[in-house]
Amino acid sequence: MNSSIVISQSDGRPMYLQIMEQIREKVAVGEWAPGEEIPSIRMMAVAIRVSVITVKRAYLELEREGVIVTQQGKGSFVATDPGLAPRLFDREFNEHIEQAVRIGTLLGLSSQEMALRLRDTASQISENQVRDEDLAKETL
Amino acid sequence: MTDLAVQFAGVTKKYPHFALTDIDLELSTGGIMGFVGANGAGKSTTIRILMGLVHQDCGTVDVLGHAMPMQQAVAKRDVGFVSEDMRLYGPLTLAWHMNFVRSIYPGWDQRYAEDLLRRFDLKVEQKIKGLSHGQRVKAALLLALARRPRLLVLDEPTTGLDPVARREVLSELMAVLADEERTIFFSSQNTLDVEQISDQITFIDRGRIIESANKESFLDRWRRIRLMLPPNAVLPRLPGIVEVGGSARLPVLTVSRFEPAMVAACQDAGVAVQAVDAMTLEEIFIVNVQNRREREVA
Amino acid sequence: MNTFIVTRLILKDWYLNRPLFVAALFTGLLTLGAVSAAKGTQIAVILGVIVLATILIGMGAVIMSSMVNERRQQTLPFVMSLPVSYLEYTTSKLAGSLLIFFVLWLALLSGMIATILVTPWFPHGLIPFIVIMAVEILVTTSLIAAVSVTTESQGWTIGVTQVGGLALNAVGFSIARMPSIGHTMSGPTIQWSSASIFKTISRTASGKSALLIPSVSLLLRSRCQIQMSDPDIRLGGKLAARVPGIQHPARLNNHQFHFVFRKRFVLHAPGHDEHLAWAQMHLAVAEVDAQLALHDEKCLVRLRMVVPDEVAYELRELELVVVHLRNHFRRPSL
Repeated sequence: MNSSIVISQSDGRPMYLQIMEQIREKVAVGEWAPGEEIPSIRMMAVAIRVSVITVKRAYLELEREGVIVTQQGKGSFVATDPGLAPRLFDREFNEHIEQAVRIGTLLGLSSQEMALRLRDTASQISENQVRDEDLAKETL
Repeated sequence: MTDLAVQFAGVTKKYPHFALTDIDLELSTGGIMGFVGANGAGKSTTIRILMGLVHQDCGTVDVLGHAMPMQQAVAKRDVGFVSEDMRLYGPLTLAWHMNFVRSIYPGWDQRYAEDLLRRFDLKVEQKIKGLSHGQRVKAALLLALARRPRLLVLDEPTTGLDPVARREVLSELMAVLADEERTIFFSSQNTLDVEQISDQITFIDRGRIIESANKESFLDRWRRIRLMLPPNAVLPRLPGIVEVGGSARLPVLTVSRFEPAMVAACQDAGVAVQAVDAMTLEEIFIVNVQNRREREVA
Repeated sequence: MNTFIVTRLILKDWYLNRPLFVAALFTGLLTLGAVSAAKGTQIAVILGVIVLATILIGMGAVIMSSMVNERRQQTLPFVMSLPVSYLEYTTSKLAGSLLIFFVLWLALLSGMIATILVTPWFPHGLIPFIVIMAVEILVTTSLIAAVSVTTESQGWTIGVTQVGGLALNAVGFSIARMPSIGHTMSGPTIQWSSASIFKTISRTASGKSALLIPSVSLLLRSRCQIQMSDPDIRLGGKLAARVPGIQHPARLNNHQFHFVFRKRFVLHAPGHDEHLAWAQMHLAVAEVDAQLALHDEKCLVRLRMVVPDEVAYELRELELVVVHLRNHFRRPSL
């Protein structure tokens, strides 16, 4: 399997976090199936041109989260946990909410205002989605 | 226990207008160390001492287990060295150089060499004097890489290269590390490269090592904390503040020993923490050097 | 001593000096051909000898400066990145240089002897004298090379060159005066009076070797702790401006080889003018050859007693030619 992880230099976050996020996404969408072998730390480092130590850190953190499993001498594998994918998406959702709340607090919004904004944004997006689908049907 | 590919202990070298003082360095086998410093800081001197080309005044240098400079001939069998001021023989072709190096090193991998020729876009029959700077650097790198050395010592390998060539070189360097028995020591002005591919980072300034650490933990320690001080409030005392910037009400602290507890400490003191930003290696490097120089002047 | 790597380096230098060597050889043989074809003109012979000597000196200078060139062209880091100690590197430079010089010397000497034998009007008696002087040149050049490589000091080089030149001069003079050689030089046949000739050769050769051996051993001993020049301290180069605290960028770019032997780094080196060193050496050897030519001229005068009309004219011509060539020997960079 070739690793299609892309590290962005303009992304302000540390590289190991980017790697972790992209691996989690791969597992979440099923690109990397549970129990499947994933590139070794060194192979990954060479493929994405990032230091071994950074990849090692990412793998260690992912192992702590239960996303992957490393067996000494055998390599690294996706954890064989059927509920893993939805859990990962769930976690990402929570992370985004946390970030939004933090920014909202800085803006001085109360929790009701934040909840209101969340609802408005959700309905706005679903409206846009419907509109785009109609447009697509018209052009066909 | 990984053995050390490179070890400096208390190395000193004095010149009339410059001195390298008390250099301590350790690089484990399989790792890659990025060596960062301003011009004239002593990077090249350190590398020459590493290669046994300059004899230190005191201190010990061990390369792949061999003492330098006494055992340099033996050590260099397993070392590939490329430096920015190195030149190949102008009137001779790249093919001649490849044959020359091949005749000396039994570990020469011809297939790998041809592969590199293709990837670096070099022509064997071309004379060295007809090559552009970037091509010459790549040619020298090819000669060093194709002999599959256990240790690669590179003095500014990507300086003067266009972005595409730089990326090719970085790819090749990382590919070398696929074998965990191989080690790389390189100096560079390009902090982005160093930040991306190094396992360990060493800072040198005015002949002294300022920092030598594991890259991830090093980058973790440095933060820029943006605060909002209420009127008449005092800046909280935090350990390891290297620099205070910004304005009186909106100070920006640069800290070299960050811990999450600091944020709580600020909040407890009634100071709002606007943001805690990570710093790039370049920013850390500049702050470090500037800070040292200011302290020296003071 | 890793003879393998030393051999590889010598072969490398051979390959690099190939065009020059071929050119020198070609010019030398052409000169011999011209001399032989000149059918007895004094001027042709003298010019021929001087051109040959010039070729040898020129080649000698190029070879001597090959070590300096390695530094100047910045190929030294490449060579020193190979599994070689500084001692082995120096050995390869010395041995390789002398080898190249020796081959050229041998070719020109044999060519000269062959020309004398083949050309009808050339007195064969000259041959012993020429052989002795050629051997002297070879030994003297080796000595100069050893001293120059050992000390890399123009002071020592000039000193040894002058002494060597004077010695060569004296040897030439005394040999020409020796009855067994002097009388037979103008003769049509080669007369090797074995006893005296071999005694002479052995005396002078052993004298030179007595100086050669200690200098080579000094070389070997000193080479164990050699260092290359430091690029951070390459004053005068583009780095100088960027290195903090450097006040006086000296003309060190071309002169770093002087600091190789000094453990203490010497910044200001007045008078260490490499051009002067080589020019002086050429001058000294040129002097020798001028003297030699004068000797030849004396013999030729004796020879020319048979045909006296052109003697005075030739003498003046000779001096003119020599002076002219002397200025030529101030060759700049080699």
